[in-house]
Amino acid sequence: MSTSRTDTTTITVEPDMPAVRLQRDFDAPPALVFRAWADPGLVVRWLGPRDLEMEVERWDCRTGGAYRYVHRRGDDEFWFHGSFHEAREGERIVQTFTWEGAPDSVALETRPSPTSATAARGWRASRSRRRTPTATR
Amino acid sequence: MADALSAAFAAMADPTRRDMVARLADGDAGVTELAAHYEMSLQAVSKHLRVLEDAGLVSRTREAQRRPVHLEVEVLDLMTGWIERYRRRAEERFARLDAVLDELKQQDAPARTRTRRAGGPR
Repeated sequence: MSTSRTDTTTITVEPDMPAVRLQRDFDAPPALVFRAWADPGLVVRWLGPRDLEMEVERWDCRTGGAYRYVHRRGDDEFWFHGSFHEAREGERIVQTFTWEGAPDSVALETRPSPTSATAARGWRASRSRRRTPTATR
Repeated sequence: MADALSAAFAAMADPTRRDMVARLADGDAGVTELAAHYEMSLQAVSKHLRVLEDAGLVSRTREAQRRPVHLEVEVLDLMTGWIERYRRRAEERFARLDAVLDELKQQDAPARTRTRRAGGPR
C-alpha cells in the first residue's frame, strides 16, 4: 500500500466505445473506388456536404501519408485533418479523422470494414468509425 | 429540442437502460416486473428509470398503486430522425461517388478497346 509502484500496467477495454458502421456497395471495380478515394481531384467532387465548398490543402493517400482539407460556407471554415495509417490499392484504407474544432477527438476509419468481405465485383466500402473521446490513446 | 436529444442519447448510452427501453417497446410494465430481469436492487432499477424519465423516454402513469412505466415513442422518433438525417447525408455523398465512378468506368472502357485493337492481329 505504502510502496509506490509504477510498474503496473492496466488495460481497459471500454464496452461502450462508440462505433458506427456505414455500409454501401459500389458497382465498380475495387481499383476504381480506391482511385476515387485517393485522387484529391476526384475526392472534392463527392466528399462532404453538397452545400459546402471543399478545398484540399494536402491529400497523400498512401501508407504513412496525411491529409488536410477545409469546407467553406460563406465566411465559415471547417478544417479537418488526419493520417492515412494504411493504404493498399484496391484493397484497404485505414485513416484517422479529426475536426479541428474538436482537436482532442479522433475517429479511426477503416474501409472496407474488417468484418465485411470484399465483393469480387465492386467494393463494399463500408466504413467503420471509432471515436476516442480523449487523446490518451 | 437539441437538449432533449442530448438527454435522450445520454440516457440510451447505458446498456441496462437500452434493454429496459427494448422491453418497454413490447408494452408497459411495472417496476418490480422490470426489475425481475436484472440482477440489481429495486432502487438501482428505479434510478435507471428515473434517468429515462428525466430524458423524456418513459413516463409513469398515476394509475393506482401499480404506476406502470410507459415508453414515450415520440422521443425515440426524434432520435431515429436525427440518425436518418446523417444516413441521408452519407447516401448523398455516396451517390456523388457513384457518378464519379461511372465516369471513371467510361474513361477506362474506350481505353481498353484501344488496347485490344492495338494488340490485335496485324
